[in-house]
Amino acid sequence: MTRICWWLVDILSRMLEPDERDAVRGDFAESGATSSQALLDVLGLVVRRQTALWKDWRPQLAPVALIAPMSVFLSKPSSGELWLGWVGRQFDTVWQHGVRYEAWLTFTDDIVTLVCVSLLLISWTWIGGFVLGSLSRRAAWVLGLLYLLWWFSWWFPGAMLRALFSDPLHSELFWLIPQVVLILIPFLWGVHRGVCFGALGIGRVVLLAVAVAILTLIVQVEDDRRGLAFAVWSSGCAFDGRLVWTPRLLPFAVIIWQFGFMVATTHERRFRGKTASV
Amino acid sequence: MVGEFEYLLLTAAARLGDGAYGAAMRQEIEDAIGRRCSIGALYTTLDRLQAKGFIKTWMGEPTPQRGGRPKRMVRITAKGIEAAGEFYAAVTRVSRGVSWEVNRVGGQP
Repeated sequence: MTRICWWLVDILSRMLEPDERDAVRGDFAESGATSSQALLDVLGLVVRRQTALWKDWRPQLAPVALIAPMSVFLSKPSSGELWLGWVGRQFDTVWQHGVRYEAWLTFTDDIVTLVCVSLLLISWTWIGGFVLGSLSRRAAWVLGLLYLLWWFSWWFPGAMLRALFSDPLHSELFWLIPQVVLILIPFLWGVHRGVCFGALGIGRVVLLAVAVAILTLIVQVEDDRRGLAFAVWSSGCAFDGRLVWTPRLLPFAVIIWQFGFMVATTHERRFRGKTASV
Repeated sequence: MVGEFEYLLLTAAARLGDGAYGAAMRQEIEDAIGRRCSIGALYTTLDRLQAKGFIKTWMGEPTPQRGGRPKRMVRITAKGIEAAGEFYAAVTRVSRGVSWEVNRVGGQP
């Protein structure tokens, strides 16, 4: 019990600023505090510090301006028709029939879509995490935890039920792996970098913005092309492989203010002489 | 005007002088009021006092007694001394003639 309490004290005290953490842990050592007293004390201090953080406008803005649109936006490519839809269709066809699902699209088309959508998801979630971390600093971990709890609360119970009544490939638990790799890990990485550094160099922001814009365009074109290919193929005709693109501005609208924020923080940090290396 | 807990911290810092730091101030306050003083209240109030310019704090040297961790040293400023003095004067003034003050000095209620 004592060891568990001290372990919790250690975990909780990581939410404090380094100097304060050292001072508090030193006070415990000097006063010979018991593990339960130390746990109560550090918990009280962490709660007070977190409460104080939330009096600022930035952590309050983050869920409204970042998490809500990103959640809605990411839910489509991560579990809808883009990534999982395409991968699911291919896996399903190979699993059941031993052949690829083609619709006159080449294997290279599939690989391009797979790579671009994966990179785009990683970029979106990393940027979202970075902005969240930079915007709300130490409150970011509480926000991130709430976001993950929300995500699992709607996803996990349904996935468990479906896993019990269907084969492993059709279960959503199977898709937990790409979701963790493409969303969860980049998000946590981004939050960590955002909390630690707060800003990127302007060159990196521009490079990231260009890469995300190009990837978004490629994914939109590939998505439209794939949709058309399936429609043509379903009607019994041969798809001629032409490119089509219906401009969709929502992804750019969601991401653009985050780049604006990153540029603004870079200018602010440059003024103070602090920039991060990623 | 400072609050009552802020006044307790300022008094502890003034009394301890160069030896004023988190754990020592906490002990001083607990001895004075006979109740437990939480670390959360102590450190958040220290921050508030520092923001008001009533104290200065800095990290001291690590000591073996503290497991190699430094102390957060505290020093009361001239502005803090003035604020504590004002609080004490106000409490003294407002308490004049009330039953507990008269009993304390040996008079009749």
